[in-house]
Amino acid sequence: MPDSGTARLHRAFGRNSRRFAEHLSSLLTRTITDQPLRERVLFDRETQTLNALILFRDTREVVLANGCRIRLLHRVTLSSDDPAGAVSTAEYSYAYGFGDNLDEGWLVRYDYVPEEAEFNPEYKYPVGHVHFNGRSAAYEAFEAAGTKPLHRLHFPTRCISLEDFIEHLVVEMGVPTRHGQESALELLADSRNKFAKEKRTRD
Amino acid sequence: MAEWLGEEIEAVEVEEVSRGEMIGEIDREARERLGMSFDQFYECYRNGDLPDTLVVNELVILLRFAGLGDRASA
Repeated sequence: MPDSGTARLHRAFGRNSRRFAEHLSSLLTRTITDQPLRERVLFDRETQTLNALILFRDTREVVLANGCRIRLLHRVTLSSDDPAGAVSTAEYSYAYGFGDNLDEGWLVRYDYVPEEAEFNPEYKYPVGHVHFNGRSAAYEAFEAAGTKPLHRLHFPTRCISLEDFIEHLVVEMGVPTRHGQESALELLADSRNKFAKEKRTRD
Repeated sequence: MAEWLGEEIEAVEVEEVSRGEMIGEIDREARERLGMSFDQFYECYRNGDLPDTLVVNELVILLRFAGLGDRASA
């Protein structure tokens, strides 16, 4: 059984990770889908680490009103430098695409992997990167040492927030919004600003 | 309802899971989507032999969530 200090830390982590999951879920349900997120929490006794994984509640992926499919996995851990149980993003992956099966029909995948970049010395790609599952005849004709399929390239990007991801879907993919495009974009901008000012724990 | 930055938001379902449950889930997913068992998937992960696809990326996130992401100590 954990001591009282550890138990307090676990409870604080539970509260903070749940609030963060609720925030992400709310961004989605107020803009482009009625499908909420859920949170799974795992305490690894071997390594004494706490993790929470945030993902859609009922399905692996969600089909939006125009047929576009999205998938979201967001993992948070306990911030190592905060005894109050603050959470930090360990990694996330937001993807979208088309067709019946996103495993095959994904178009773009945004990955942010600060934990991998920090702890895996062999990791050599940008912390924030984009994978594009497309074709380029010119790229395929380009034969140089070490070239790999286009979808395996890690295009560098800054950290793309869920607000950015949803905004992209609304503006560029024509995803219908639940309560009007203008109010959705306003909500996303407001949330992005508030988060940057008050909650961000990592660059 | 819950609250975030001063605004009311919908509560989310929270589920506690164990490493064993996650291994079982990864095994089911890997068999269904990649045609391999958990042990085969984990072996490929440890050896860096997995292709960087959407499915693999998703299962690796589950693996790390289960506390099995450290290749060096695997």
